[in-house]
Amino acid sequence: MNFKIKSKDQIKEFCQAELAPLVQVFQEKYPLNVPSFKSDFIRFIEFFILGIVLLKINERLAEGHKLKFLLTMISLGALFYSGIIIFTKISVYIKQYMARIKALEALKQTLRSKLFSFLDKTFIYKRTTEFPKKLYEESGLFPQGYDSAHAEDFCSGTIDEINFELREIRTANIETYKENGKTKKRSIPIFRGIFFCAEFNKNFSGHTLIKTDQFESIFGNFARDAQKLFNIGSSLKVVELENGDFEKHFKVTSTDPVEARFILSPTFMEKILELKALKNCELQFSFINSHVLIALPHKNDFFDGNFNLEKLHESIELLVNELNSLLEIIDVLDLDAKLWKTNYIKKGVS
Amino acid sequence: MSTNMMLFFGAVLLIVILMYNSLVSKKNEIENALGAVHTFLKKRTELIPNLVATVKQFASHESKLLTDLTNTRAEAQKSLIKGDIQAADAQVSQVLGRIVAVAEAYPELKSNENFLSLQASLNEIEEQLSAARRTYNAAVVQYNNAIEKVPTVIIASVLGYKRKQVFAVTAAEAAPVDVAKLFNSTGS
Repeated sequence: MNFKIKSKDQIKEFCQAELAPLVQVFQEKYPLNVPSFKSDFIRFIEFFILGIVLLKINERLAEGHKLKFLLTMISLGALFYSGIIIFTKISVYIKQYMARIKALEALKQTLRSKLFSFLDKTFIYKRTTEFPKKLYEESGLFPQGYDSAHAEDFCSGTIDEINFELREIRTANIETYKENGKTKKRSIPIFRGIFFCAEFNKNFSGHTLIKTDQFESIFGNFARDAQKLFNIGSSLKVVELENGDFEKHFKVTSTDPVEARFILSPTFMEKILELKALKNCELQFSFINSHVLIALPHKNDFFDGNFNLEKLHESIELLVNELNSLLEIIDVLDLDAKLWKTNYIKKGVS
Repeated sequence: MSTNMMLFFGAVLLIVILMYNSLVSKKNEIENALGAVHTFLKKRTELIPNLVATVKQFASHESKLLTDLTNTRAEAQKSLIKGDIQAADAQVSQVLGRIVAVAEAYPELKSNENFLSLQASLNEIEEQLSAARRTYNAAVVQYNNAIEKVPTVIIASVLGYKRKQVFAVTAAEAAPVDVAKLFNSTGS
């Protein structure tokens, strides 16, 4: 598989023509130079020493001396002024620094948005996004619930008439524990990675889950029997499939075994195995409302990493490669091979 | 009778009940899966009149194929009523294969929206049918394993449960489609 949205040359050309001028404007408006503190620091030292010296002289004057009050006021004034000098300089610097950070975030959002719409006019990128609570809960992939949830780096679009959306999400449970008599809290991660959702190439009304099966690869048929035993009472029944390799890696449960096999044709099982080998991680799938939801665990942030303005082209190339590696899911799973080729495109993924 | 003995017989009785229930569930799963196969076969057979009507518009001189289609539908319906699912499946599969092959010779038919829609329906039903067959076969394998394995074999033999056959692909279905032969057989 060699899924590519645009060629390297096209991306380089776009980078130079469209993105580099934006970066240049930013760098001119928000230079990275640290402001010179030298002259202000000298003034600060001068007034500080003056204040201290005057205070010391004042201490030596006899009680009730006519200059005592005047010296006290001048020394305090000198110390106060030295404080004002340094405080003003630091606060101006912090304000400029914060404005730069804010502008940099806005620039990154603009660069990414421009890049995504260049890659495909249907692509939309948003740095901040709401956590997809409904999608996450309905997927059934993480039934244990969660205490904290966060989402960012949303991307949606259409490839070969397939609507998709993906976002980076993090969910965790908060656990309280006692240490040295004090109650402390710690975060237990549930999932961190990409939550990918796309239209599936077949229609179905039930719910089918494919989860990683660590037990079957170790315990074989015994694990399969145990799964069935522990699944009693669940609305999702364990579905045994003919592909031994697939069964070794995944556990399939579904509200309808016929529908599960309709989704998981022998070819599609092979494609899932191919995707698993390609991504080399614990992939999980949920098939619901004629859509496929894929949880792709990932330790690092996507679209974020080393977004370096000095090496813009390299950063953009890295970002495009990350996006390509995610969108190749559509290609590897052949999601565009619809049974219904005629005008069967639903709008709005979630 | 001591409490230990009562507990022992209770446990044995419980195991027997569980094994019996498991066998009955497996038997019912086969019937359920067979029901699904039956439903999809019926759905597929019901597409035939629409196919005949559409093909007639563009390939009216394929009279042999059209007659075969109509006859096959009638035969398949009879087979379904008799419960001969394998026969119904084979009859319809063969004649539908011929339609697809014939459509290649009629560009207007091939690009007709009605025909495309019917073809899409057919594809979907074929996939559903294949899934139903696989479900049936999986249920049969589980059932056959259960009635032959110890200790369920004892209860199965008492109940008179017999091995069941999986949905096998016939030699004709497994063979590659000879398009030229199909064209000749339509008399075109």
